[in-house]
Amino acid sequence: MSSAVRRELAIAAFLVAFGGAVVAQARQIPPGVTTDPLGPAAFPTALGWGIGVCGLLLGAATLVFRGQSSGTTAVLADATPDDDASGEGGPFSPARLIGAIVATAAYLAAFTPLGYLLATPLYVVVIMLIHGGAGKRALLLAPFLVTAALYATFRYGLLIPVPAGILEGIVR
Amino acid sequence: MLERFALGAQIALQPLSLLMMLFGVAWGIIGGALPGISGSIAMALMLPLTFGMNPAVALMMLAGIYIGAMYGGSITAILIRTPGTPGAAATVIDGYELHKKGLSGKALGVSLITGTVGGMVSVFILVALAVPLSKLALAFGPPEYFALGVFGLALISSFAGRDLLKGAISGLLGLIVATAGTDPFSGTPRFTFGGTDLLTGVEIVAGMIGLFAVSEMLQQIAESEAWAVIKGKFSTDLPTWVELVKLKMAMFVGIVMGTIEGLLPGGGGAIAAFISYNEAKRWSKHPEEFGHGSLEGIAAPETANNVVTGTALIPLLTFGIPGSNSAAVMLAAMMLHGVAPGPQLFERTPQIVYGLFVGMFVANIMMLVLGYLSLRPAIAIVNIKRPLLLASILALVLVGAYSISNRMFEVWLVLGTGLLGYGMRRFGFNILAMVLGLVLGFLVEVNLRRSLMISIGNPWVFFTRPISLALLIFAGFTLVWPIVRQAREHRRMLPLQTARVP
Repeated sequence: MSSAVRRELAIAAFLVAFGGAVVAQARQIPPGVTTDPLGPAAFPTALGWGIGVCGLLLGAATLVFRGQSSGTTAVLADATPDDDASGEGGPFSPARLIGAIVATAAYLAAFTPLGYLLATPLYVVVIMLIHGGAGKRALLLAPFLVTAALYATFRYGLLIPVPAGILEGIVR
Repeated sequence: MLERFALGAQIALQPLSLLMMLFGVAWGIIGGALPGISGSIAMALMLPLTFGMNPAVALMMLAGIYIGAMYGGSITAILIRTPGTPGAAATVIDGYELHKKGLSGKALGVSLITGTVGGMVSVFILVALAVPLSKLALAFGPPEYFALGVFGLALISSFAGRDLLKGAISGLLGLIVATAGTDPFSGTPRFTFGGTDLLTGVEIVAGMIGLFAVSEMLQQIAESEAWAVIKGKFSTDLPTWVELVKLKMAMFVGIVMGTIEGLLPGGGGAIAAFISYNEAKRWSKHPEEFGHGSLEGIAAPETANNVVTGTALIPLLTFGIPGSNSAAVMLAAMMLHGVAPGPQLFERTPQIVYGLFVGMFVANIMMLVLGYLSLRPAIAIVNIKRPLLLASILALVLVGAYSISNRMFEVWLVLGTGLLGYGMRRFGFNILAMVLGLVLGFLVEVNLRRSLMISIGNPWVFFTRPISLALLIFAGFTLVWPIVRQAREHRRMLPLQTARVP
C-alpha cells in the first residue's frame, strides 16, 4: 500500500469520525420552536451524516482506484476556477512549515501581554530566518520598518488600537 | 436609471473614493506582480483596511485591486515568464518572447491598453445584464432563495475539477462551520462549546483571510522555490496606433470569450484567457506568429481576463452567489459592512451598486495611467526578497485580523483556518468550495426552514413555484453535467490508455 493510499485512507477515517462527532454534538442541541418543522438540530445532523458518508466514499474510492492518478489525487490547480495562487511548489520542508506555525502561535500568545510593538519585529525576524533570511541589512532594518508601517496604518490611519502590552503608559 | 448613475457617480467621484480606488489599483498592480499573491489574495489582505470605510468606497477599492491585479499579473508573465495571476498564464507565451527580443514595452503596453479596453467593456456588460437580472430576482421568496442557495452549492461541481468528492466534502465542511453560532429561529447556541466567542458565528472575513491568504503564505514557506529575478535591459516604449488597430480582432475575441467565461460558474480569467488565445490564433491573419512574439497573442488573453473582472460580478450582485475567489472576497466585504447582496441591493442601496459600476469604469482609467507609471516600481517589487515579503504579509494579515473586532479570538481563527486551508490545498481539497459552503450555509438553512414553516412542513413548496423549480432543475444540471463530461472524457481516453499498455 503506497503512502498516498494510506494518507487518503487516514483522511477518510478522520472524516467519518468528524461526521460522527458533528452528529453527536447536534443531538445535544435543544429543540427549537414548535412551528419550525425541522428545528435547529436537523441541518447540522444532516451535514454530519453527509460528511461521514463522503468519508466512507472517499475510503472506498481510494481502495478501488488505488494507483490510478485520477480521482482522489486531484491537485489544487484543477480545483480553483479563476484566480487562486499558483501551485508552483518546490520541495516540501516540514521543518519550515512547523517553524512558521510555532512562530505564529508564539506571536499570537505574546501579542497582548508583550504588545504589538515588541512582538511584531521579533516575529518578522523569525519568519525571515525560517525562510532563509534576507541579508544582514534587511534583517536589521525591515522588521522595524514593517512594524512601524503597520502601526501607523492601523493606529493612525484606521484609528484601530493595537495592544500596547508592557509598553502600556509609554505608547498611547 | 440615469438618476441612479448620477448618485453612483456622486459617490465614486468624491476625493476619498478616488484616493481609495487609486490606492486599490496601485496595490492590485503590486499584488498581481508578486508571484503567489493573486488578485483575490491581494483583495483579502486589504479587507481589514475597509472597516472604517463607507461600504461603497470599500467595494470600489476592492474592485480597483481586482482590476489592477489583472495588469500586475502580466508584468511578471512578460518579464520573468512567471504569471503573477493564473489569468496571465496565457500572456507568458508571446509576452516573454517579445521581452527576449527587447520589445518588453510593446508587450506591456498591449497588455495594459487591451486590458483597459476589456475592463471598460466589462462594466457596460455588467450594467446591461445585472440590472435586468436583479429585477427578476425581486420576485424571490424563501423557496426561491433556498433553490438559489442549492444552485450556488451545485457550482462546487464545476469548481471541483477532477475530484468531485473532495469538492463536496469541502463544501460540507463550509456548511458545518456556517451552522456554528446562535440558531436564527430559536436562539439556541449550536457548536459554541459553552463559550461566548462563537455565539455570533464564525466571522466569515477571518475565515476567508485564513483560508485564502494565510494558507498561501504557509504553502510558500513550506514549498517555496527561489523567485526568478528580472535581468537585462528592457524598453518601455508603448505600441503605436497602427499596431493597436491591427489588434481589433484579437480584442473582439477576448471580449466575447471573457463575457461567456465570466458568466459561467467556474469559468474565470485563466480559462477565458487560454480560450481567447486559441480563438485569436484561429482568426488571425498571421497565426504563424503566435508563440513567437505576437502582439495579438497578448491582446486576446489580456482583453479576456479583464472582461472577466466585470462579468464575474454579475452572479454576485444579482443573486448573491460568488462565482470566483475574487467575488467571494467581495461578498465578504459586503457582509462585513452589513450590505446584503442580491436583488434588494439594487433597490435598497442603489448608491452602492451604481457607485461600484461608475467606480469600476474610473478604476480602469486609473489602471491605464498607473500601469505605465508604476512599471519600474512594480519591477522593483517583483525583485523583493521573498522572506521579507512573506513575513510582512503575515504580520499584516494577523494585525488585520485583530482589527476585525479588537480581540484575539479572530486572530487565532485566522491561524486555524489558515492551517486548515493549507491542509486542504496539500491534500487536494477545494478552498473555494468550502468558502461557498461558508457563505451560503446561512442562506440555505434559513430559507429551507422558513419555506417549510410557511408550507407547514410540505416539501412540495419547492417544486410548485416556477422559479424555485427552474432553479432546482438548473442546479441538478449544474451538478450532473461536469460528472457526465468527465465520464465522457474518461471513456474517450480509455482506448488510448489501453493501447499504451504493452
